[in-house]
Amino acid sequence: MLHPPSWRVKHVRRGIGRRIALVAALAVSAGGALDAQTDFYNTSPGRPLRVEDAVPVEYRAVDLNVAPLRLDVMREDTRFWSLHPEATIGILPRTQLQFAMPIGYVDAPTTSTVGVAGLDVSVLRALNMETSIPALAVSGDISLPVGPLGGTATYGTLKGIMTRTLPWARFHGNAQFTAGPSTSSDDPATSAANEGRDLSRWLAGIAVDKTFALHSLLVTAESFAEQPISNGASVAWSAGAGLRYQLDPRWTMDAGIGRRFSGDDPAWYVTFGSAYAVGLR
Amino acid sequence: MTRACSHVCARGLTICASLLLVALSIPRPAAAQWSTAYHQFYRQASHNWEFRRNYPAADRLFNAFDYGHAILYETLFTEPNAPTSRLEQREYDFITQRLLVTPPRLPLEESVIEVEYAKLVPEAKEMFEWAHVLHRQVYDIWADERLSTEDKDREVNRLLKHYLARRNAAFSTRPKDMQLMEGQPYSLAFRRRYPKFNGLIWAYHWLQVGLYEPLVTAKSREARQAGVDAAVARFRAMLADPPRSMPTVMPMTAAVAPEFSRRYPEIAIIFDNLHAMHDVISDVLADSAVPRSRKRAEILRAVARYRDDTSSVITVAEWRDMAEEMSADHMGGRAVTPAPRPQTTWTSELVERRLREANIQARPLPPTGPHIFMSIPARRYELAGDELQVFLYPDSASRARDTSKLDRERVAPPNMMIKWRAQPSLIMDGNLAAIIITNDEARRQQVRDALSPLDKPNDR
Repeated sequence: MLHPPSWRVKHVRRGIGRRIALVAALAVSAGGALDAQTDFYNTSPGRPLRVEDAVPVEYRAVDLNVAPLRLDVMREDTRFWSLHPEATIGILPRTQLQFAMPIGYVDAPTTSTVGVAGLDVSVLRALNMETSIPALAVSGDISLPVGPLGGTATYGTLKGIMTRTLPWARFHGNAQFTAGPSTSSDDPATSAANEGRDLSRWLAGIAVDKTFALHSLLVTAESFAEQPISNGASVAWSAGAGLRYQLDPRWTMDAGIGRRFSGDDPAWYVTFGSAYAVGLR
Repeated sequence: MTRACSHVCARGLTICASLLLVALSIPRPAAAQWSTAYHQFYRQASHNWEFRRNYPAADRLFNAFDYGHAILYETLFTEPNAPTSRLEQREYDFITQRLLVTPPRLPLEESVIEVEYAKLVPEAKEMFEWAHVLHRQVYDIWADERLSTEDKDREVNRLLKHYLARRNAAFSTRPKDMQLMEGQPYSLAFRRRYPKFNGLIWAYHWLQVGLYEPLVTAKSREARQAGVDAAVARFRAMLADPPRSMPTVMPMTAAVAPEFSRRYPEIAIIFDNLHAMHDVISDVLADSAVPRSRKRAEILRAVARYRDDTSSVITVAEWRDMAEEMSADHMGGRAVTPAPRPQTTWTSELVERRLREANIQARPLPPTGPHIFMSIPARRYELAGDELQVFLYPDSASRARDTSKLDRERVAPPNMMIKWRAQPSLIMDGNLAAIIITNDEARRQQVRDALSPLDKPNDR
């Protein structure tokens, strides 16, 4: 999870509603011009929720998430905007490689900061296709300290994923652990440097989704707990809901909303994303 | 809601759902199977989605077809004791009165509709999906008006190679005999119990292969459009008076789309194997004599037979003959009615020229008088130790009067025992009947290819 700074320097208020509307309008108008697709049935982290399914992108598919946007609205008039462009490639059967370079914008009452928030490279490998055995997958992620909000250390994350499908819903379970130095909340410089990165010491959560096949629509909800990477931070519990919708054979959109109920930085967050799928030649 | 309350609710939700997930995920040991099937993206090309763009009404019908196949398998597997009206009325009415009237705008995620079936045999599901990708991409190529005919042939051949590269998901390009579909212990279980829904599935399959014919035979964009519209109208007419108006035998590509099958025989055979396997799986799921615990194994056995190049293989000529004998009229008819054309007549000169062109050394043998069971004498040829008997009738009706009395398997009248020197095969085309007597299968095929069909450019 992102943990925007709690320090304040100068009050800078912006029209959040106007910004969301602007970004949404840009994304939708771009979609009209494109002829895009991705699989609405295949969830991935942040699109729209944190907990994902155990299904990688198809072999030889390239999934381009050009402008997935996330906004965290916290206490004390602090907002954290994150743009999370990423490319996911089905490099082998049941295996995907993903590159992501999040860009963060911290909008606090007294200051604002913008910059690249790390560089993530991850591999997800599905172990099987679901039968009477649930679908199982593992993924490994390296987060490199790139950019002004990218921190100072490299982190490695290992995740286990499970998906079980029933006639009325699909269930997903995720559990992950991250290796790397803890940050100190007493050291503002270190803390601030890691603010833009999507890190937690461990995370465990579940999600459920319901698909309306004839309408190419998926509705989903999740709940998860995580231990922030900073020393002494308390476990944060979150819950969210979202949807994914197939606009045409190549083009998908998603949107989500959630609430971090506990921990040091309770917040509301919303996400909006779109993806375009092509194949390798 | 207070913060504390929210916290408790979120935590409670997570814990309860986690426990539920773990409970649901414990596999039943007897049925537990490990599958490494996987999905593969369609071949990226400039013609992607051209069919959708140029023929949206037909394209949307295929989305509805996805639902029909999926709900059929799911119902057969999960509700084996449901009354026949569950499929024959409830689902049939929903499909024909709502779904086919307003089809979905996008291809469906079938695993959402056939949840339990998809988990039963993901391997078979993936084979279907991969073949459906081939279906749709061949439509795309022939719907792309920017491509010349040569470009289209080249693209289709590339596509075929791409398809066949996935050996674990590709159907064989070798035709299979009907025994594989209709001679198994479970065979016909589905169609006997659900004649109307079976007719609906065959009507789907008729359109899926029939659409190729106007695409490959029409000479202009307008003619292609009109041909596709006519095929769709014909499909809808099949639903008018079920099951009487529906196909009564499995539509075979060689009969429904003969020009497409001549142009791309391997792809036509793949589609016939695909559609036959659809029927086989329906039978396995519908047959109560196959216990639930054996369904996966039986389906995987059938899948392997339709994937390999050895099980129950017949020749391409036999496959064409089978399609002709089953008759396009019983399959819903040819997708494009051929224009009347002058009938080419076989002559002895033409027979000998065809044999020469096929590099078959044919030495005429002296006449032997009346034939033992044909009404006219044979012209006999010696083919390096084998024998070919040729019968040239004044017209095809005369030829049919003789050949219709024969048991084609034994090449003899049903009440007559004949001891042939080697394995005989009957070849028929127009006014010609021929019997090739050989144990050399390559030679047999060579002669078949040489003597059928007519209509090569130099035949007239």
